[in-house]
Parts: sequence; C-alpha cells; structure tokens
Amino acid sequence: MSDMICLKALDLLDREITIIDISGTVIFANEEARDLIGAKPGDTEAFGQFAGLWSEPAEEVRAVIRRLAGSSGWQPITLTRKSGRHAGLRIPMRGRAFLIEPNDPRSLYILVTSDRHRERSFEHHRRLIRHLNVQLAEGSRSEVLLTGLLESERRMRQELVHRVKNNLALLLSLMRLNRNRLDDPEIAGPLEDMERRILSIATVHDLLDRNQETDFVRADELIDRICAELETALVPGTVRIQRDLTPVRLHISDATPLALIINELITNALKHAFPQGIGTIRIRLGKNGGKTLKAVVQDDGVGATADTCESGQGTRILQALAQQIRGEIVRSVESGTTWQLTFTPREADEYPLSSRVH
Amino acid sequence: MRDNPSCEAQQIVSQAEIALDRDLFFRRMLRELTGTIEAIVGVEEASGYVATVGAAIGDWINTAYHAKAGPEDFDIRTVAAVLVHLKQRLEGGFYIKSIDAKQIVLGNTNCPFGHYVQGRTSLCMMTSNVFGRIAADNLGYARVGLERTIAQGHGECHIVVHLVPRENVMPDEREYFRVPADLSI
Repeated sequence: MSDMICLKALDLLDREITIIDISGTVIFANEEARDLIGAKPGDTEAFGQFAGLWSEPAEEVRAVIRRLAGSSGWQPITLTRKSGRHAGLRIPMRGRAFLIEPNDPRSLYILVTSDRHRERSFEHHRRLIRHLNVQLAEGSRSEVLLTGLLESERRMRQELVHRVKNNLALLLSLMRLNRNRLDDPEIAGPLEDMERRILSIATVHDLLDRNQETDFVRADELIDRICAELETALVPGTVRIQRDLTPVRLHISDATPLALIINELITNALKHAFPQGIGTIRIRLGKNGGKTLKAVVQDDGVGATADTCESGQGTRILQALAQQIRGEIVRSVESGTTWQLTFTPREADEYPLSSRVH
Repeated sequence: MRDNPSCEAQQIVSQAEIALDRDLFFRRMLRELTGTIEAIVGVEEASGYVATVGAAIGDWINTAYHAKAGPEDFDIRTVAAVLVHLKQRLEGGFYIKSIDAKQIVLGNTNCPFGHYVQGRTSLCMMTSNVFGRIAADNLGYARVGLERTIAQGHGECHIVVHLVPRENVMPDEREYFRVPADLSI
C-alpha cells in the first residue's frame, strides 16, 4: 500500500523523475518523465535504455551515467531529446547515485530529475508552447464558427439578391402593363426610359443570381446583356451595336452606375444619332493603364449639339452616375458622338469584409 | 636632450613589484569564476558544477598514480598517502590525523587555492570529489565529510573520509561509489 502511495505521489510531482540501474536501463519514470520520454500514459515499465532517449552518441550518454553513478552529489547534465514532441530540445537535468543495500555495490541506482533552476527557460518555452497550442485550438474553433457564419451570411445575401431580382422583374412587368394602357406618348416615353433604367439594375442582380455571387459581376457580361436587351427592345434592324469588351470584375457599387451609364448612352444614341435609322454604335471597355478602366460609347450618326446635351436631364444623370464611381465622363462630337468614361474601380478592401469573402 | 619617454615607462613597469604570476593569476581567476557562478546559480548549483570537474580530476589523478604504482587497488594507508601527497604537490598543507578500517581523518593548514578560497565553499567540492573518487575507486566506497573548512572561515580544514556505508548521510557528507568495471554503462 505504501508503495502505491509513493508511486502516486511521484506521479503527481511536477518534475521528471527517472531512475536508472547500473546497466543503463530506465527502471522507473514518473508521469512527467513518461511524457518526456514519449511513453504511453500508464506505462510503468519497458522504458528501454536511458542512452536510447537522447540524440547524443550512446557512448557519450553512458559516460554521463557513469559519472553520475560515481557520487551521491547532485551533478548537472544536459542532453538533447531524440524523439517525441520534445525532439531536438536540450533538457537540463541533474542526477546523483544512491545505494539501496550498503554492502551490495550492484544495488547502485541513478536518480535523474529535471533541473528546476536551469529549466526555467525551458519551462517558459514549454508553457509558451502550451499557451500557443491552446490559442491555436481556440483559433481553429473560432475559424470554424466564423466560416459557418460567413457561409450562412453568404447564403442569406444570395437569397436577398434573388429576391431583389424577382421584385425588380415584377416591378418592370407592372410598369410595362401600365405603360401599354397609356395612349399619350409624352407620358409613355419617360416611363419607358425609367423601365430601361430599372432593367439595367435588374440585369446586375440577374447576373449576380445566375453566378451565385453577392457582390461582384463581370462588367463585360453586364454590358453585353444590356446591349442585347436594347437590341431586342429598341434597335431597328439597320442599327448595329458592336462590342469590344475586356473581361473585368466589378463590385456592384461600381457595376450598377456603369450599367446605368451605358444604358443611357446607347439610348441617347438611338434616339438622336440616326435620323435615317441607319448606323453603328461601338462600345469598348478596356484598361486605360494601371488600374483605371475606360468605357467608350461611339456612334457614327449626326451627333447632337453640345448645348442640348449638356443641359439635358440625361446628361445630368450621366454626370451624377460618373461621380458616384469617382469617374469622369466627357463627350466629343466630330463625325459622330463619342462618350468616354474613365474611372478607377474600388479595391476589394474598400468594401466591407463580408463583401470580400466567398 | 631628454630620455626617450617610452623607455622610461618601460623601466618603471618592469621594476614594479606586482604580485602576479601564472599561479596567482589562475587562482584569482578561479575565485572570480566560482564567485560569479555562485552568485548566478547559487552555492548548491555551483557545487554541482565543481563536483563534475572534481570527479574528472579525481579520475585523472587516480589513473596517474596507478600508472606509476600498478593497476591493483591501493590499500587504506596508500590511499591516505596519495591524498596527502597530491595536495602537497599543489602546495596544500594536508596531513593525516588518523587512519583505521572505517575512516581516514585528514587535517589541512593551507588550502591549495590559498586565501582566494575564503567565501568560496563550492571550491571545497574539488577536494571532496578528488578524495572521494580516489578512495571509492580503490576501496569500493567513500563518504567525505567536510566538517570544518578554511573556505568557511575556520583556521584549518577537518576532513573525514568514511569507508563504510551507512543508512543516514549527514548534510555535509557526500557519498562516492565505485562503478563496477564489468557493467555495461
């Protein structure tokens, strides 16, 4: 019973205790030492040779044991763990010999224990590792939680995009229904303009929904879709819309005003540039050096006078939309009318975090 | 015309009676070294370091005497004579007070470290280990008790080398064992 109490007490000690016999075999290791040695919890035997635990050559370790075996005085030793989670660490220890049977030199044993004094830096290192492991585990749990929350938020945002798209489609249907009942072109015309503007916004949401995105769309796909819608709704067969569009991703904060600008410019060209109903509209989207983008809408029609355009509601809308994306829009009139929009798309880190994580 | 100033300085330096030679230098260095170690890690830890060195020195001296006197173990009287002789070679004032089958009692009037040993008790581990190592390797077992030491401020050292193991070891005693040569470690 007292042996069990002693063994339990040794296991509870917060320092490694190892006992080696004079053949160099580890005959006892307390719980801390078993952890250091890499023995399984609960192991009470078969620890092997002490020399086998360290990286130093076996002959060097045996010389250390022999030195410790020669005296009851505590002597410092430092050895490097060969394997286990402490592999490569220099372990400061102290050891001494003791005799069980005073008249039997073969009852000589060596007690080796961690050196608390010299171990301070090692212990600090070990505590730091434990602390970092705890933090790592907490970090991993937080990451799983946050990833789940972000995924949940992304799904909600996708659902929101889907509902906005459907609501815009419903709104457009109602507007068309009401417009078709109107006989007065003075009222029907502005309503039709409004429909096309709403359609441009709806196109942004339709692209988001189709591509299961919540924040970014391909600007080239967006302009192409707007052109296709206008071709169907407005463009007579004798007017062509040519596209030269560089693939580029835009945040909806930039993409929505751009869609409205392109819609406005094509609509204006169709209304004013081709009194004969024949002509070509060219649309280019590309990089203008660095991070700046350039969108050009050019027609080969008669062109409108500068006074008319700059004072018109359409132009005010264009300027306001260009300001919204911190861009500049300019018009030139020669053989036709050319509108040139330059702007720098906002970087991903200019948007809220949730907009950037997919 | 003035004498060359650098020659004059050289003459002053060469004629200065400074108490400095290699022996003093090493003793002084040992005092400072052990003082530093004691101050940093404590006397007990420093004693462990000195003991490690003392064991190696004891091995070396024992081997040197056996190289001259033959491989057989020395008897008690020869061991006592070796202990006194080696210390005399180091200018120590060791002498035998008594010898019997159970113990060798030694006195010392002059420490080999000289007055530099005062206050450096960890250096006494050198004597304990050298004596203990030689006695244990020849007689099977030794327990060295440093009952009085010059380092502690006594006028003379009183050292007992016990040769018979016992259950209870006094705090100022250290045991030394002969590690059987046929063992695998």
